[in-house]
Amino acid sequence: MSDAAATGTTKLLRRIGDALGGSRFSRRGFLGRVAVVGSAISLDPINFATRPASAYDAVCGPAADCAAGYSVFCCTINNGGNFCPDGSFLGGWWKADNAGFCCGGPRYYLDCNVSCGAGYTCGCETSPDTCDNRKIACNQFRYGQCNLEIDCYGPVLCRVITCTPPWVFDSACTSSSATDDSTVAQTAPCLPGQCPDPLTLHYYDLGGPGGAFGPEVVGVQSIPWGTWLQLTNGALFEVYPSGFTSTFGALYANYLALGGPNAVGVPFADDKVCVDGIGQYNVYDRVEGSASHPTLNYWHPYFGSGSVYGKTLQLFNLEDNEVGPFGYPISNRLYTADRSATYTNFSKALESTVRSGRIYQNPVTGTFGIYGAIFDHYVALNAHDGHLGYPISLPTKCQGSAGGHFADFAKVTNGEIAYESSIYSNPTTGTWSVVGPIRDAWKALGAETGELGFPTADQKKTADSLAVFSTFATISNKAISSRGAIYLKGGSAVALFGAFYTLWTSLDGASGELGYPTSDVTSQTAGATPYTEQLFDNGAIFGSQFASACALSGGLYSEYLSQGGPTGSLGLPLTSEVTSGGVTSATFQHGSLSSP
Amino acid sequence: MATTLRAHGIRAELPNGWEGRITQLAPVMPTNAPLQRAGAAVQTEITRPFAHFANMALPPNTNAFGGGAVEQLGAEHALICLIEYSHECVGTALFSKHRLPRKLAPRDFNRRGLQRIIPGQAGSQTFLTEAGRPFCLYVVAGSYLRLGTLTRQINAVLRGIHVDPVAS
Amino acid sequence: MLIVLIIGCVVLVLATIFVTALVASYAQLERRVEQLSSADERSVPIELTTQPAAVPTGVGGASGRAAHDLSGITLGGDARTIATVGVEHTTLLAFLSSGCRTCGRFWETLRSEGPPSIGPTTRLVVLTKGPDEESPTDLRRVADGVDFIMTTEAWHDFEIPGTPFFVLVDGPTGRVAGEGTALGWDEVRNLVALGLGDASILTGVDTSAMKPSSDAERESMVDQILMDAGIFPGDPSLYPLDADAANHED
Repeated sequence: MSDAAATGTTKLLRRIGDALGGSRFSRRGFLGRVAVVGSAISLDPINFATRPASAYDAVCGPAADCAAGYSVFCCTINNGGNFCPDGSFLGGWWKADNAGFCCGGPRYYLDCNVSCGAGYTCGCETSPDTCDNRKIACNQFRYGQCNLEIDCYGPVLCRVITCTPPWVFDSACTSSSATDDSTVAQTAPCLPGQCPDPLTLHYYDLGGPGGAFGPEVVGVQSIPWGTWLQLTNGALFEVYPSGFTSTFGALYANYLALGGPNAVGVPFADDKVCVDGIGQYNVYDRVEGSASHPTLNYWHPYFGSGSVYGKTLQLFNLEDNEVGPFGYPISNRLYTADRSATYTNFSKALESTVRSGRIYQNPVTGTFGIYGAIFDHYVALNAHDGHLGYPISLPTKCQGSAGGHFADFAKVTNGEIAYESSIYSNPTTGTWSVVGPIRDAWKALGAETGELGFPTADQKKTADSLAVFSTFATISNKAISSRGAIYLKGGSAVALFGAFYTLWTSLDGASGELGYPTSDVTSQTAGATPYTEQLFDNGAIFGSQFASACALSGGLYSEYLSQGGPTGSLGLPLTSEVTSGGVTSATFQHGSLSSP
Repeated sequence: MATTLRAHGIRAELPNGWEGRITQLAPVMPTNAPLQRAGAAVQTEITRPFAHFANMALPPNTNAFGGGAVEQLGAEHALICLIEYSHECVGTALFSKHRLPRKLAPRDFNRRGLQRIIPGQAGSQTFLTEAGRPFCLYVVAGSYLRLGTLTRQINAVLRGIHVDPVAS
Repeated sequence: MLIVLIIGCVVLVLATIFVTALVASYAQLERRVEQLSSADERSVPIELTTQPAAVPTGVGGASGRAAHDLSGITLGGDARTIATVGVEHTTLLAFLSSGCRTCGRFWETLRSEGPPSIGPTTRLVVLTKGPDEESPTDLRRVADGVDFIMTTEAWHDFEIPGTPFFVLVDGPTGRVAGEGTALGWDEVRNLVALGLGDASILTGVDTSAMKPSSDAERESMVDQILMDAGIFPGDPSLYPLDADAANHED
């Protein structure tokens, strides 16, 4: 107390003492007679009829000062957030009817009571930046319709405002009504003005500028399906017939990257969490007449953002969306360099690794995708820019008991399919491609369940570059048996396998005496004796009951043929030719031949 | 001479100098336009009776928790509000106190225990269940300094309140 | 002081005039009351259209018959009791009815302007008979802010001869301080002025002994000083020894 006040009090005490100790009154009589008017007099400041109107009155409405006895609005003390601050909870509500702030309807005030144990002290909002100077955590009072399971409560910390009925705004509130129209005009600068549009009201219901969506970036705008409001961290929509919807955070950022409402339409629901509980997604739809053009937008904390739409989305849906083998899209749609096709990349989290994939959309080859080891090998072969072209199937299980998957591809040239290829993936033989004519020859022999089995390498050039070839192997009890190869030379693809392949490779293969195979294995008879024969550049290999594989080449072969070959007098060969001391000889059923 | 006030299953025998009112407002339909446009059915609010008793002239329009009347309380006045809630409140922790208090002491009042803090006044608030019906008893004393006298008058009114098990 | 004296004389003259008029109409009134007692109470409301006659029972005093608290319902259907006995203020009871022609101007003022000013210490309460005899729907156009109660019982309690009729009740004594009929609110103010002995109601000059503002301020500061010194409500030192037993809480 100041010296002046102390002096005044002393004087007053003297006057009180004179009055109380005088002959006319006793202390008890004095207090017994008169009303304690102190409180009545102190009510005088609450006489707004005599207060001059000011700009502050217009912004904050009546009773905005601390002495008026009302509580502050939460957005004033909560960084613009129209929600209960930490350490408080919704304790109850009342309404004021015919509120201009709610376009003539009821305006609801929800009190945030301090939670027991939270450390707030009674005070007044004194910031010069606001006219809402009402009380903070002073009124030890509760309206009692919300959170009835909480029976311990502190004073009212602040008030949340909404035009939405409290029992709709928060399911913890009952609809048991209390009305106090005297507060109808009270407001604060951080609250919307008179009768804002419904979307703005919804924005404030979600916390307003201090809420998760953050401040406004662009005000409410009309779009063909309703209106939308762009905020710092997301967007709010009012669309027919869904009502209020939203998209937020990284999903919102990608929504803008996709072109916003004019490009992909609007969300007809809020963002949702994916089945795995980790990723998030939303569906935007650009509805034109009766046609729907949906875009599925994803975000994953590890993979980032991506989207699918059009035929890619149709395939993605068929493959069980992000739960299926492709996983999450990790890109928006991308164009190939020549812009003849588009593709979308995907990633799927497996137990200890991440699997990649891609779906292509090509007007010639259609919409197909691949993933996993097949996709990885495809990328190693230069993907769509390589010799395989575009996928024309999804990964498919291999035939037979050896397991594995494969996918087919088509090379497009001048708008037409030039040839097809495949990539086969088997845990025993690995992941390899089979291309063009070699693939055709291999498939003619039964592909992975035929004579040759699975590819064991990509197509290679021979040492002399005159041909290309692919090698193959069969699998038995998870063990590989090298089985054969297919050579492509001069436009013809010829397969070598089994004993003939083993003999040929032991004779130095294409660089040996026999040269390249020029025919497939043929089955014939010599008299009553069946035999097989395969022709080479410079000879042949014969197989019969007498010998699985006998090779004859050069002069000896020519001599054999001049004597009638297998059907001649010599019969079928019993051994391959052998060269010793400059002389090449071989043994036959009915004799032998030598060639110096 | 006592006056009897009776409505909606609430009966009060008011002492000399006290008057009262028992009100039940008609529900107001919420006008949340977007919800209505979306065809969502919006449940109407539930209104239940509330009673006011005072030893002063009660203004014609008084809000449930006394707004409109508390501003006119003199130092020797008191306002008693008995507000009923919807039945779903019965059995909850907040309304677990059984029975209407019949005797309040000055220590039950708080100068900040007010819906609207008016200097000099003091309030007492209790949530309770009486006769199977959930209520809030909210009492405002016009002067904190005169609680000794006022609580005797208030308690005389509280002793004269009777609640029927079902609102009539 | 001179002004107070002059005004007092004016009041006295007016009182004399009214008493004279009362004597002249009393016989007529008595005959009318006899008619009322045999008439069907549900028939046309009895309208008092003769010379306005105020019946003060004592200027500035309340020595009339005992008054009653009111019990009935409001226009909104609320159960309501209004205390007129044992309260610190005066209550003016305005008994009106919807079918009474003379009541029309009273209704008109209530609808368009709200409750008229009849002095700072007088409370106006408008009464009609209960919903069994009056229609709340017809009456609902009465302006907000009017204390209104529908109660047939009050007609009997106050022995109302017809409408419009006004009864002034002195709160502290619980007695009727004045009653009569009138043709307009100005005449009603005369009734109140006579009943209270307060010409300021008519002239707007407040002649009551107002508490000096300095006294009011002193009282407020006394309260605060006591609290600051740790003396709070209920403190035994605030009560006389012989009153301690009476003040002892239950």
